[in-house]
Amino acid sequence: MKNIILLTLVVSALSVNNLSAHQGHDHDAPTTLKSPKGGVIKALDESRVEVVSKKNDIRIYVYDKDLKPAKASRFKIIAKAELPRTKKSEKINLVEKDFSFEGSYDAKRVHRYTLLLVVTDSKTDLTVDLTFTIEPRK
Amino acid sequence: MLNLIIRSALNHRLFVVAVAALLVVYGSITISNLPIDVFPDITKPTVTIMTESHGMAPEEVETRVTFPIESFLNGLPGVERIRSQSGIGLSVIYVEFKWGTEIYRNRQIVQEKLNLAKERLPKDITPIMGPVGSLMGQIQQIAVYSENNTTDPMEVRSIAEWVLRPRLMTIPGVAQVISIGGGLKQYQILVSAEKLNQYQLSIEQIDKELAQISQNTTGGFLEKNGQEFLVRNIGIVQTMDDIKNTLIGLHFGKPILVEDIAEVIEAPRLKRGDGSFNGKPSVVMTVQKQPGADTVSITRAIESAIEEIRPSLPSDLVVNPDVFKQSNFIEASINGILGKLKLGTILVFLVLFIFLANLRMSIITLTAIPISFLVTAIVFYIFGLSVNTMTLGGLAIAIGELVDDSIVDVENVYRRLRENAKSVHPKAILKVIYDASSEIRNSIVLATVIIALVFLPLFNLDGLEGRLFAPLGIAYLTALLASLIVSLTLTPVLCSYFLRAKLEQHKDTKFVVWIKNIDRKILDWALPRSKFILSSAVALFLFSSSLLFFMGRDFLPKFNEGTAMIALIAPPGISLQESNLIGLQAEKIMLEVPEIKSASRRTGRAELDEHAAGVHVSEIDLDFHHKGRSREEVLGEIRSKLKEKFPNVGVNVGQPISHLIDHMLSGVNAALAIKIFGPDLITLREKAIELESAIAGTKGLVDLRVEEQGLIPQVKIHVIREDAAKYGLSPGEITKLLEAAFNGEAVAQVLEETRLYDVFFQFDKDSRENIEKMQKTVLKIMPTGQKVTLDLVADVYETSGPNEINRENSQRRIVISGNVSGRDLGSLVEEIQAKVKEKVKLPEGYYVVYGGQFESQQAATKKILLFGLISLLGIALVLISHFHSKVITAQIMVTIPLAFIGGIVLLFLTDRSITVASLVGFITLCGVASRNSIMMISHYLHLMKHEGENFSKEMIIRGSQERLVPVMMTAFVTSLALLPLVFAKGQPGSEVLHPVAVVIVGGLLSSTILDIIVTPVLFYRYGKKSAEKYVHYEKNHEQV
Repeated sequence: MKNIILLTLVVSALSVNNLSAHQGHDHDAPTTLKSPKGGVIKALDESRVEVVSKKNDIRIYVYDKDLKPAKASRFKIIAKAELPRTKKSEKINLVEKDFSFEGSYDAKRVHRYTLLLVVTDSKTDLTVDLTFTIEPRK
Repeated sequence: MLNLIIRSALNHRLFVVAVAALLVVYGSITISNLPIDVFPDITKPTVTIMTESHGMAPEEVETRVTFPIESFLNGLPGVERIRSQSGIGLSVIYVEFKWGTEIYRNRQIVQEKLNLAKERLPKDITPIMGPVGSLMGQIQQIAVYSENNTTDPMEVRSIAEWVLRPRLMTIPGVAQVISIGGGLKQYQILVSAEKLNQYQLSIEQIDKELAQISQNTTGGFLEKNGQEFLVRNIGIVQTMDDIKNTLIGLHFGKPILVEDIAEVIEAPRLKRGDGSFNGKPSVVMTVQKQPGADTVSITRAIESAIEEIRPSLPSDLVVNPDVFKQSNFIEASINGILGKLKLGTILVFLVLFIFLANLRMSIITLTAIPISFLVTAIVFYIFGLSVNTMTLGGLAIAIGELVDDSIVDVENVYRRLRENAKSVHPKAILKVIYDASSEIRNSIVLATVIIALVFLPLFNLDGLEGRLFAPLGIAYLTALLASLIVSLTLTPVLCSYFLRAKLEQHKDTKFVVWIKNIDRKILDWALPRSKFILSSAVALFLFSSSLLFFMGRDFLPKFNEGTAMIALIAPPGISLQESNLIGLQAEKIMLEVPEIKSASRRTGRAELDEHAAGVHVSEIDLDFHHKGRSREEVLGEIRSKLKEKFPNVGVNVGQPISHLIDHMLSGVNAALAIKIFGPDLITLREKAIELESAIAGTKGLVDLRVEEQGLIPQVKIHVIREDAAKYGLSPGEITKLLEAAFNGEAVAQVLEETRLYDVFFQFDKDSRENIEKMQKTVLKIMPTGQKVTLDLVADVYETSGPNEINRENSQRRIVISGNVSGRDLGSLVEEIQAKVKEKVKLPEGYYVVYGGQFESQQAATKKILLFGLISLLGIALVLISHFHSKVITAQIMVTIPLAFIGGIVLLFLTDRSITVASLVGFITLCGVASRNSIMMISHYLHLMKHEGENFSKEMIIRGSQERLVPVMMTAFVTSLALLPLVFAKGQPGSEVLHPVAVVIVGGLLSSTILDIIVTPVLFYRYGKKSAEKYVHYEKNHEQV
C-alpha cells in the first residue's frame, strides 16, 4: 500500500514537471506588478516579460521573478502579429540584446494588432504563450 | 514731539487714566469676539476647475478637456503654477496664483477664460469652478451609520443628504458638506439587450423615448368667466409605476412599455467612493468652512444642530460628530499657548518683585502687559485678524520687552525721585517725573525703531512662511508700539500717583546688592583685560557657529495635530469593492493597536469633492487615546503592519493639516516630491521606477512611492468607419448610443416630498457582463429587418491605458514622493540629489525638479537671510544717524553675534535642526540684543552729558551698575515668559513657536551675560573718542 502511494506521488510529481508547454496565462494581473520600463508586464512561473511599444518599434524586456533584468540568452521568444477581424498573422523578427529583444512591425493603417509571443524559459524549460494588445497609433 | 506727549500726559493725568480704562473695557469685549483658529490663513490663492467628462478615458480627458482649458489659462496675470489631473471622466485643474492676490479677482479672470474655453470642449462638457476654499477648511467629519444594520445603507445616505446636510448648510460659516459612502438612491431602468432584440427595438429608439419620459409643459392660459386659468400639461414621473408604464415603442402595433423590456428598481447610483467608521460601512460627511469663519463656533453649532435633529432620526441610526474635529486641535493649541502666556505673566511679576522689591513699582510696570495686549486685540479686530497660535506667540515673545519699556521708565523715575527727595531744594514731583521720562525716551524709541526694522524681513516673506510669521510680527510690533505709548503716557502718570511716598527708605534688595557686587568685581577684573575678553568672545562665537554644521535643516517643525491620516494607494485598476476590502482590513489592523481610539475611512471620491482620488486610494483618519506609546512609535507599528499585510499597496503616513500643507506646497501629500517632467508617459513611468530604485533605502526616507500612474485594464470599442457607413451610422452616433447603453444616463427626476431622485437608464448587468454580450448589442434595425450589432461596426477588444495623467505648467509629469523620519530634510535631499545624479540618466526633453517642503525651506532661508542683511544695514544706518559715530554703531552691533552664541548652543542641545521658525527666532534676537546694548551705551553717554562724568573706568562701572538691574530684568522677564514654550516641544500649537523661543531664550542668556562684560570692555577700549565727540556734538546741538 505504502509503495502504491509513493508511486502515485512520484508519477504525479513527474507529470507536473512534464508540462513543458503550458498554455499562456497571466499569473498576476498586470496591475499588481510594477513594470520597470513603463510597459505592459506579464508573469511566468520564474520570470517576467514586459512589452514596450512605441510606433512600429517593439521592445521585449525579460526579468527574473524579483524583476531584476534577466539575460536575454536565457529565453527563446517567437513573435507574431495578428490583425483584428481578418485574423491574419505575420512573423516578427526579433533581435536579441543583453536583457531584451527588439523588433519592428508596421501595422499600416490598422488601429491595433495582437502581439503573440511564445516564450521559452531555459531555466524552467517551460514554454508559455503570451498575448499583448499593441496600439501603434497611441 | 515725544516730550510734548509726556508733558501732555502729565498735565491731563485723569484723562490718560480714563482712556486707559476705556481701552481695558473695550479691549476685553473685543477680545472675546475675535475669531479663533490654529494658524493664520495659510491658503494659497488657488482656483480649482472641475470638469466632469462623461466617463472618458484619462488620455481623452487630457487631450480633449484638460489641455484646451490649460491653454486658455496659461499666461493669466498672477498665475504661478497650473497643475492638472486627468482621470477617468474627470479633469481637475488647480490654478495657483501668487500669494497676496485677491481670490475673487482671480476667480473672475479664470471664469472669463473658462467661457472662452468652453467653445473648444466637447459638447455638453462644462468646466465649473470649485468653491472658495481654505487649507484649514475641512473642519469636521461626521460618521452616520446604522448600529444594527436595520436602516439600509441607501436610506442612511438619503438621511445624510436630505436631512442632515440641508440643516448643516444653513449654519453660518459652513461652505460645503460632502458625503461619501452608503448609496445615493436612484430609480434605475435596467434594459435587457435580449428583450430589445425580442421586440426589435434599437438603443437609438430607447434613448429617444426615455429622453421624454418625464416632462411638464405649459398650455398657456384659458379664459373662463372673466378669469384666466393657467394650463399645465403634466407628464412628469412621480412614482415607480409611472416609469414602468411609459411607452417605449411598438411591436407589430402592440405598445411596448418600459416594464416589458426593463427592470425598474430603486438602487444606489454607481459608486466611485465609499466610507466607513471603525471598520463598519458608514456615510462619512465632511464639513468645509468658509474662509475666515470661526471653526470653534461652527463646530459647536454643528453639534447642537445634530442634537436637534437626532430625535427625528431612526432609533438605530448613529450620528457621530466626533470623528475628526479640527476644533479639538485649535482648542488644545490655543489653551496651551494661553496657559503659557499666563504662566509667563506670573513669572514676570515674580521677577519684577524680586528685583524691585517694591509692589507699587512692580504693578506700574506690569500694567503695560494687559493694556498692550488689549490694544493689540483692538487692532486685530479692526484689521480682521484672528487669534491663533502665531499671534499669541508674538505676544508671548513680546512680554519681556513690553515690561522693559516701563521698567526703564519706572526705574529712572524712581531713581530721580529719590535723588530729588534727598536734594536740599527739591523740585516739583511732576517736573522730576517729566525730566526722568524725557531722559530715557530717546533710547526707548530708538530701541523700538530697531526692533521694527528687525522684523521687516518677516513682512517680506511671501510663501507659507510669510503667511505664518507675518501675523506673529504684526502682533509683536503692535504690542511693542502700544507699550511704547504706555511708557510715554500712562507709566509717568501712574508714577506720579503711586511713587510719592517713602522714597528715602527704599534701598536695593539684598539680591540686587549681591549681583551688583559681583558685577563690580567682574568689571574691575575685565576692563583692564580687554584683549582676553574680546578674543574669548570671538572664540565662543566661532565655536557656536561650528555647531551649525552639525545641525539639520527643515522647513517647519513637525506639527502635532492629535490625529493622523494614513493614505493607502492600491494598484490602479483595482475595483472599488476590492479597494474597500483592503481599506476595511487596514482599519481592523489599526484598531487593534491599543493607542488608536477611532478610524474613519474614505475610499475613492465623493460626489462634489474636488479631490480627484481614484477608487484605488483610501484615506483613513485616526484619532488617538491620550495615553500609551509615543505617536512616532504607534505610527511606525501601523506602517510596518500595513506594509507586511499589503506589500503591493503604497502607504503614506501623515497628519490631515500637514498633508494639506504639503499638497499646497508641491501638489503632493508628502514632505518631499521629486518630479520628472517629459512628454512620453511610458518613459516617465520607466524613469520614475529607475529613480525610485536609485534612492530606495536612503536613511531617513520613508513612505517612498511612485505616483500611481500605472496602466489599468480597458475595453475599447473602436468604430470601423467604413463598416459603420454601410449601415448609415456615424461614429458619433454609435459612441453616443453606447455611452447611454453601457455607461447609462439620467433621463428624468422623481420628486418625493422634498427629495429629488434621478431616473437612470442603462443596460442590465447581463447585457454588459462580458465582451461577447457587448458585441451582440443591437444598435439599429434596418428597414429590411436586419439587426445591426456592435461587432458589425466596431472592433471590441481588451487593452490597457493610464489610470490618470498629471500635468504641471502644461507638461506631463510623474512624482516620486516620500516622507522623512528620524533625519532632517536638508541632508536627506542632498544625499538623494547625489544618488539621482549618479544613477539616473534622463533622455533629452526630460528633467527632474525637487519640490515639497525642501523647496520652500530653501526659498524661505534665502529670503530671510537676504532681508536680514538688508535689515542689519538699516539698523546700522539708524544707529549712525542717532549716535553720529560708526564706532558706537559697531559696538552696539557686535552684541548681535554674542546673542547668536546662546541661541545656537541651546538650539543644538534641544532641536538640532534649523527651521524657518528658528531663523525667525534669530531675527527677533537681533532686535532684543541690540536693544540692551543701546540702553547700556546710551546710559554711559547720558552720564557724560548730563551728570558731568568723564570717560573713565569708574564712569563705565557706574553706568553698567545702574543699567544692570533693567538689563537683567529684561533678560529674566523675556526668558521666563518664553520658558514654558521652550519646554513645550511637540505640544499642539507650540510646534512652530518652540524653536523661536529656544533661540530667543538661549540668545538672551548669552547676550545678557556677555553684554554685561563685553559691552563695557569694548566701550572702555574703543569708545572714548566717539563718546567725547558725541557728547560734544549733542551739547553744541542743544546750544544751537
